[in-house]
Amino acid sequence: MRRRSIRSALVALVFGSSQLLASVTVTNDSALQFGSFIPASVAGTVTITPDGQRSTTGVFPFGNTAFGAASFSIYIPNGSPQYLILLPSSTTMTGSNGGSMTVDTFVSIPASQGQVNRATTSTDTMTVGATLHVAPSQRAGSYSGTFTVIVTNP
Amino acid sequence: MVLVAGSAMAASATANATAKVFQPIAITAGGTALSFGNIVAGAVSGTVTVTPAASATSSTTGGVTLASGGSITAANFTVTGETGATYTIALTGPTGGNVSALVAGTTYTMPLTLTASPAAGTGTGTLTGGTQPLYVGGTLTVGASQQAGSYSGTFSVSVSYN
Repeated sequence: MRRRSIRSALVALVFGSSQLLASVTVTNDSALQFGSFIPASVAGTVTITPDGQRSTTGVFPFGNTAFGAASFSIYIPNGSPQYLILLPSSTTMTGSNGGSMTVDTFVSIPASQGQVNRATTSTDTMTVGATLHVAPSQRAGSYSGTFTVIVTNP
Repeated sequence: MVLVAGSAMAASATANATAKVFQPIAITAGGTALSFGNIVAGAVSGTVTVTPAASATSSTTGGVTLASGGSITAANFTVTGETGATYTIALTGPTGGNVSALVAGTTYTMPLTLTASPAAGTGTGTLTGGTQPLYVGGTLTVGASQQAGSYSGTFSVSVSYN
């Protein structure tokens, strides 16, 4: 009796660890691009929606630099197909000639949770937009920064 | 085991964020006025033209002749902005298109048309190296026996990215 109970406990452990292999993989496929613009004498914003649209306040859109939302691939090979999204609150971009700009108000599609398609490749695509804050007479240059998204499998 | 489970069920990815900020376009006056020098009106009308250049030259038509002593200069400006960008130049002439002189309580006028180098128009300027000098000259129409006097007026130049 005592041996049996130990065995069943072992079986349960092995079963549990196989469930743990239901890992989540997130891959960044494209950057969040705010494009190019001319700053004004007043503060402004550039907003990229998660479906890739751009709107501005204060600044003047200018030039041919591409803009667009960031795109991520979510891969959950087994277990629950659902995932939860954690977006950063803000990040800082620094300029090639000095200066910095803050990016905040990150928004994603899906908004807070999604699910991979079990019927096909067990993947899903998540896109992320945000708002860039531009200071009056922001220093000219090419700005870059990074941000990290976290995806969990509940 | 619980800790391992937690890390296996969450993942993160880092993305780049990019933006390009262009330098605003600006124009400043260089302090030199458009000056036609001293003009002698004739019995018939004529014109006097100053070229839009750093070393401006003057030419006349009709009954107009130049007298010595006056300076002949094009107005000078400096345009600054994004290196390599092209821009549009617009000239706004003096009020009513005339320069004027007030002599003994009466205002006399002469029509002035402006020319710029680079020429006014869409995308005619280029900010090679982020800057470009801009000169404004013009043509003054002097009437037959034009009233003697010191004529003046103001004009403006505006620039914008295309």
